Amino acid sequence: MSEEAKKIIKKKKQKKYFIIFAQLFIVITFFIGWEILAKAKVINPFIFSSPSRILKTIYELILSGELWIHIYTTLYETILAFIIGISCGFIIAILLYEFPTLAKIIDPFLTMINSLPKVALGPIIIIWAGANTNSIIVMALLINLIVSILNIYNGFLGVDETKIKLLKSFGANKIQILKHLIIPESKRTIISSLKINISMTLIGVIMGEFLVSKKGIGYLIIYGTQVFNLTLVMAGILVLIVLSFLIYEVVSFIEKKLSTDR
Amino acid sequence: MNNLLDIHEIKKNYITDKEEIEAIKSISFSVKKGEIITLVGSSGCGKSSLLSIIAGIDHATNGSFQFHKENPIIGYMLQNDALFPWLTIYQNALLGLKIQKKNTKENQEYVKKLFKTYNLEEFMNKYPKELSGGMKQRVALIRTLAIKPDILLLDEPFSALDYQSRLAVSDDVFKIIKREKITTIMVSHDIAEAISMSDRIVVLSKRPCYVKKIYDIYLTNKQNPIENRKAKEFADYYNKIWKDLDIFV
Repeated sequence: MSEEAKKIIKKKKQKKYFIIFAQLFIVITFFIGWEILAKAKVINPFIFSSPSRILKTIYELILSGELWIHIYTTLYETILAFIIGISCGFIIAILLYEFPTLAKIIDPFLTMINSLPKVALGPIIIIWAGANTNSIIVMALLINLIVSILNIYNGFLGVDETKIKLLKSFGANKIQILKHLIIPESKRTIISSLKINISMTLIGVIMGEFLVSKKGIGYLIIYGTQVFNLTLVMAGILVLIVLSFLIYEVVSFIEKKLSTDR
Repeated sequence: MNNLLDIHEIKKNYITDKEEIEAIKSISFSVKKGEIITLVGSSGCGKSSLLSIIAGIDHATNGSFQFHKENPIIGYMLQNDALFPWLTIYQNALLGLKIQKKNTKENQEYVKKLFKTYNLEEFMNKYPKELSGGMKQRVALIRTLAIKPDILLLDEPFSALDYQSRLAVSDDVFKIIKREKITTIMVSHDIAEAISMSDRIVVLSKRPCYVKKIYDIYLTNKQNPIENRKAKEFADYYNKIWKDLDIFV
């Protein structure tokens, strides 16, 4: 390797480390600053809490075993809604692709539902689906399903027309075109929709837990607000941040594994 | 030579939301067994539409075509290689056989033989992105030949290649077609390519197209497309077809 190339690689590495350092610096400064301001009573610790109080609350939740129940509940609901959302989204997208007239008929309805703030449907969902996990799943599905359908369907529409023509010239029927071309060609779009979908599902689950639940991180946050225990609220938010980050990373890992597309 | 295909007054109109567009006014010609016939015309004149109709992908508004063979197998090669990136080139070559449920051991052996004949044997397990443009186009041809077509439809098969690859690949394809003795209808807007490869050239008018003229191509010492360009009749054909096409730049 030439000296010039070595220098460039070294510079690139330095830049990478600098970015990580800057990110860590921001996080650490933020928490230390917050702690100091709360300790010095510059900010009201009752309203703004402090990192040490939040960590203590999380520690207590871990000791009591309560935290795991809340994490498990939210995770279970998220994974369930995610799987249902992706599976139904995939099937509906296939139907829309195979029946273009159907796609044209329901297009405005999909747009309408997609632009509707779903939380407005909360009270109706509770009455229809019951004040239980069902409502949470329905709420999450309302948010992730339309996004899934639109993403996967648009992926199907983006398939190279020449390849469709080629398969038709071999005498391929609709199912063969779907199996040999549309689905494998849209793999990348489907996989990238997983990331968006998991985030959307988590939003739906937390919204659902706000409305109706006795367990889950959303419940923890809303309960903290009701009893004016803002440290509990922030502990819930911190756990949620970590959890959503971990879920996102897992989905990214799956995405990388699946997209070994040549 | 016997005729393999008779095309009789094919007409094609496209209907949009607002109007009806006439793409093909009327086209009639015959294709002899074993010949290479090229349709030449300006861009968008309806050449590719005609190929789609013959391939059974599209329907004619009027007119008919008749194959003088029962259940003819049609091989269609498109403007780009249309190779599937997630399949190896061997798997790509088997695609037509799979669709037609003819992926037998015997046919697989035939495909392997084609790879060997066309010097692509060592690349069989590679993926399309690992091949050059010219090699990919040859794989596309093998994929078409794998189904053992009675007639080959080539829709500007070299248009996506750079000039040098285009010459080399057209030369290869010509040799392959002649060796396998496959009747071929090719579409091209490149007059030189058409003269150098064809036994006959059908010159089409601008849209809506009709047959302006049909040329039987006689070249002294007819060999391969690169050498054929040096024939003394080449320039004469070129000028005549150029005039027929009525191209304004």
